[in-house]
Amino acid sequence: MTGAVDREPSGGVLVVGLGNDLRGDDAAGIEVARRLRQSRALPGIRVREHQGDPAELLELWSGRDAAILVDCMRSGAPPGTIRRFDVDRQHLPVRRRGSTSSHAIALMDAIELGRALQRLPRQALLYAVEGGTFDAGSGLSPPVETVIAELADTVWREAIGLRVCPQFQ
Amino acid sequence: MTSAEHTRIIRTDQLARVEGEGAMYIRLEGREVREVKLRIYEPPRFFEAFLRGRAFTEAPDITARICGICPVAYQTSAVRALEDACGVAIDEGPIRDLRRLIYCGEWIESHSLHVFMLHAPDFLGYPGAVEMSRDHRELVERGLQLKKAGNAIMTLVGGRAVHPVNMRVGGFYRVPSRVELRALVDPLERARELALETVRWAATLPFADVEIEPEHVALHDPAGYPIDRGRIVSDGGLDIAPVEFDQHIVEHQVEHSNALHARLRDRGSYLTGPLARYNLAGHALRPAALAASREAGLGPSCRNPFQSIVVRAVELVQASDEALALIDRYEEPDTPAVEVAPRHGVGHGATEAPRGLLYHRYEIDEQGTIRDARIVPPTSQNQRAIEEDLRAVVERHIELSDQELRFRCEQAIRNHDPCISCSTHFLDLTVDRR
Repeated sequence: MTGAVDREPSGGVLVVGLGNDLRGDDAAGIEVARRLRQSRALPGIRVREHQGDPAELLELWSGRDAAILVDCMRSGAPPGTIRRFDVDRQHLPVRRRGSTSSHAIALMDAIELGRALQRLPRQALLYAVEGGTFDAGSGLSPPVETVIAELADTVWREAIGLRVCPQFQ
Repeated sequence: MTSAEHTRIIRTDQLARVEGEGAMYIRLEGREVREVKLRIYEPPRFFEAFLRGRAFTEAPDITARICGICPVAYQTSAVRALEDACGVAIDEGPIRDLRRLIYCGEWIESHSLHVFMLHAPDFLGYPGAVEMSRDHRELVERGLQLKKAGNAIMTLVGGRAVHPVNMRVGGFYRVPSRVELRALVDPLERARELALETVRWAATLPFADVEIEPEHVALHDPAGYPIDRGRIVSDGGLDIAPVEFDQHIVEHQVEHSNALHARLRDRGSYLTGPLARYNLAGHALRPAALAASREAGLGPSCRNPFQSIVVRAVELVQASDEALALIDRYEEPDTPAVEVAPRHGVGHGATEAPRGLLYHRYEIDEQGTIRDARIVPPTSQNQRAIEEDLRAVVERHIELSDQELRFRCEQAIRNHDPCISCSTHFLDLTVDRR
């Protein structure tokens, strides 16, 4: 059981793995966060799993210098395809509805709400991996499982790069 | 007039700002509304089948996964039904208080999401909360602050804000200390102030002057505003215990929806949710919430679904005020849960999810294995009433353009805060005029 109020320090780089670990490849972001938490640690980089309401993301990333979001996508690309989006500078090229997300409001809405409320970190990135299966309890599909380690490495290198970015020193 | 000119088809393929995915189809021939279908095509999720063969102790965690917005409702209805099957009733004391407290957290989370993010854009003329937030930043921030208070309760009592993991048959896995709960007082006092501001703001919105007919159904709890227990009552004379649910409420399949339609036997459609609760139990609101409702111009009864935004705001006051009272009197129980020994039997549980009555029934064997499960969510119960409301909206506004009529229909649906994910996710809207 955690405390009622998030007392984490502000600033720094926040890495958030998003998804639902009971819905097949939707667990990809969660799995990246878990691997990073188990094997990597540096001051100024915080890694969180987030299975819940994207509206809460506004609270999580408010006051951070930078945020890297990791989630699963469904774009029609081959499963396991990884894409990077500078969400601080560009809108996500997604349809408003129709994903298999079981989140209460879409991640895109949380990002756009953050932008409108001027609560998006100065640098905000999204890494998304194409999912192949979203069946309940099915675990990661082989194509996604294969790229998870590479995705975790990429996200960590990006986090280190943002952490040492001169504007945050 | 040709047939094509005589026919109107109004179609929204993906209705926004509802929880889940479904479709609506309306066909008019001339001035006659021929067909109104709220079509829920999200695939069935078979939770009742998943439950069969599982231990009765697993039901709260399995059913919590039905909905990201109202998991506490599922957990509470489940534990009450399973305790009922085992001859246990937790109707007083700190464990019940904690259940009500976490339920208040869920009402705050769900209502603040609906009032500010999903419903307010309809009244202020924006396609969504994102666009609205550019001009009404303070309003959206208020909604987020309120939601945060609800999340704080859920996190502290439930273990996490979404799909909480701390509730079990008989009580909780761990109960908070008095000191831990005191951390919620400041955020909840602030939430109560924000909720009162929300009632005052909501009362100034422009409301269409309409009333709806269906019978209103809600729980009746002699000890206060209904949340977690009670008899099932209506403004049409229904007064039954949850065990009698099946005798009075029937579900049937309709071709156009993957969610079953419920109706009162021999009577027809009915409505559950904030309006029904307010109409049947408004007198039991806490003084702060009752005063706020009167200040907002609500009388003892409200049958205008557009004004449901005011009623939800009143329930935000109710939930934050009650949460504070529950925290104030809380004494940590000796044990976090009472012993519930399984026995062969059938149990029933009915609670008030944010969007209406949620009924669970379980049959378990002497080892506690679930043999049968039945779950009737509020949106299933409200589907038919929503379709009737849509029909009335179309008849009343038949002179509007297709685009304007489509917007009215979408609004009429959002008035009821349907949770399609619960009832079976997409909402397409089609209006067909001939």
